[in-house]
Amino acid sequence: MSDTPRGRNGEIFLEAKHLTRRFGAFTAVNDVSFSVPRGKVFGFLGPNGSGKSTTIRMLTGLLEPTSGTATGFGGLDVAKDTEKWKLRLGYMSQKFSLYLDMSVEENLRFFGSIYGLEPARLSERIAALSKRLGFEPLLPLLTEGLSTGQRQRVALAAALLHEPELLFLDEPTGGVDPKGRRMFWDLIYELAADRGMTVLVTTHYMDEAEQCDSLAFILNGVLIAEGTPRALKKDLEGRIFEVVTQGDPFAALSGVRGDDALEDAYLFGVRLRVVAKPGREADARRLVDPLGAAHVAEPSLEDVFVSLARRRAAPQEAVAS
Amino acid sequence: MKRLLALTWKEFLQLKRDPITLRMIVLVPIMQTIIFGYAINYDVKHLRTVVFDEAKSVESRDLVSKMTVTEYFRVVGHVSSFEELRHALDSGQASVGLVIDADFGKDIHRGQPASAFLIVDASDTTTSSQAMSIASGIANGLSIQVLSRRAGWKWQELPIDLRVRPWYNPDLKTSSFIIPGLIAVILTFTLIQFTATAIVRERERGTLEQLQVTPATRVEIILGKILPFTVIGYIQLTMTILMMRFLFGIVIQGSVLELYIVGLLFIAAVLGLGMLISTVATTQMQAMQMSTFVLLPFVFLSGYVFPIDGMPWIFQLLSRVIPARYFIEVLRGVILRGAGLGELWKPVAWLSLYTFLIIALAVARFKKTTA
Repeated sequence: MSDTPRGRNGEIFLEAKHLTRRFGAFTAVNDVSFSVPRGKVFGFLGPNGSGKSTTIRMLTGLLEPTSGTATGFGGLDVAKDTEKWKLRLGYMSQKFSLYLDMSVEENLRFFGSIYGLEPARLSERIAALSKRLGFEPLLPLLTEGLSTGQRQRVALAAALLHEPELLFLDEPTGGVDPKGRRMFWDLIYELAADRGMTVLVTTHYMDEAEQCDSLAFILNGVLIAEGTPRALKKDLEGRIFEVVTQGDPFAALSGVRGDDALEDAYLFGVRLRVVAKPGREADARRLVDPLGAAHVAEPSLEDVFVSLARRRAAPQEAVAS
Repeated sequence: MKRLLALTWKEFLQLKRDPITLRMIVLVPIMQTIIFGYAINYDVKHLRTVVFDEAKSVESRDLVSKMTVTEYFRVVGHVSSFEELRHALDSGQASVGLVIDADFGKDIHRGQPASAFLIVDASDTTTSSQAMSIASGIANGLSIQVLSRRAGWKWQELPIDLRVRPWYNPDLKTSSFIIPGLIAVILTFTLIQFTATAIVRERERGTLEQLQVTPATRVEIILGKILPFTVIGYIQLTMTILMMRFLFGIVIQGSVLELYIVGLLFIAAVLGLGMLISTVATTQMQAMQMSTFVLLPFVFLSGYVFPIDGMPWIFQLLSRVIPARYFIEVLRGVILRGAGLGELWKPVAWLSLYTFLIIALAVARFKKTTA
């Protein structure tokens, strides 16, 4: 555990308890509970419409939960201390919410003043962030003319101006080139490690999820698994076999699919991947060996998610196994 | 306070970057004042008239000249059959047809009722009712002349002497009636649309959400929108008052300060209404359509053109929820009659109540849609 200017990294900084949100008859988020330690990057994974954004919106104070609570910042409650809560968080959404008819600097000045930054301090922050994120030459330009990647960096700067202790990132890197994503994540990790900033991010890039300190999978509004990427993968370790098929991969797939020893089988490019049921690894191996050179594959987070989702879809089966 | 300042500064900055809206702010009052001030005219003059004079007598010619001298009728042709007269009206060449009976002159001398027909195109009710009343006035005058001559009365001394004094608008100019009310119409038109689209635009672009995660409160966000538009409303109010004074020569009889105070109430009411629309609409297109939807009844039920007293009771009741109704009452009172707020306390009180309710409703709705 390292000490940061704001406190000790690792203690619980944000805690969601039984968060539920209904829209009419539809339950978007159903009894979600989790906690995020200070200075950690916490990833939220799930398909579109699974309730990720709704959860984040409740945690930022944008949306009132139907029931449940969110506490954080060492004793604040989002429902009771909304203004203080908002003052200490940063938020950046997938839509890059900047004013297109204002210049980069005007946007930053505007958001900075909303957070109550003094003009001198604001200028300092703008200079530092624009340098760190490499958009100094863009400051006088209208935001309208910026590329997606440039806008994303400006939006991140806007969210960081007031040095928030908690940063929410809702699909922050959609449509951004790999180099931009790299620069983005470098800064996020630096701020988390050095300044003790806690980060909550939703993403569907598995490489980004892989780097999170902790992950939560959400499906149909329900939290189905939570843990470090390593711990989540542990369950699947040794159960995935990959084979580069000799013949037609589709024929190979339909040959093994439905076998009693397998939990799942799918194509990964030209490679066939099968997931053995727990305890049936040897049977699975025998099944794929004749198809080509088979080997045990490292489970990816995608495998973990697919496996979890399938077990969810067939709960009796999961219980039986 | 600082946040409110930042929000207002941002709004003006964006306005500066939007030349079309800037031009609209200035052009709408100018265009509307000129169009409404000059084009709307109830004083129907020079009605195109065809005459079918079967009598061709001194008396019949006298009737025609009595009518044309009023300037309300202008003879555009003489016809020699009823068919031709019908054709002239059917085709729209004339809106009035005068048929004078063949025995018109003789009947007068014989002491029998001399008959003439006035046929009016009543598809335009305003024009036709004026033509009818003016023509019957002329006929009455002529009848009295004939009767008095027969009885040896003196023309000047009529048994009943009703004198009409048109106070507050002695020249009976339509523009005096139209332009003060126009101030309310211009403010309604521009401000409802500006506010309705302003918030929806932020919602569409996602910037509203970004604003809402900041510590800025809902009241600050709403005030940050309302303040700049209040300034715009005052600019338009001043422009229209200046044009009214120097283009149409209408002088404000009452207190300008009082006019501006009530003006603020009205501007706030209209902005609140725009806000309300923006909490219901989800796209700028919808916001535009909804504001257009409310604008027409607003103009027509406000008493701006059509008197409220002439409406069926249900519409009179409906006109009570239209803020322009109260402001127009105040405008006409202060500008034309020189009335003070003491005399106008009723519409002012209604308008205050309305403004308060609409803003409370807008804030409540804004809360609901975003919470």
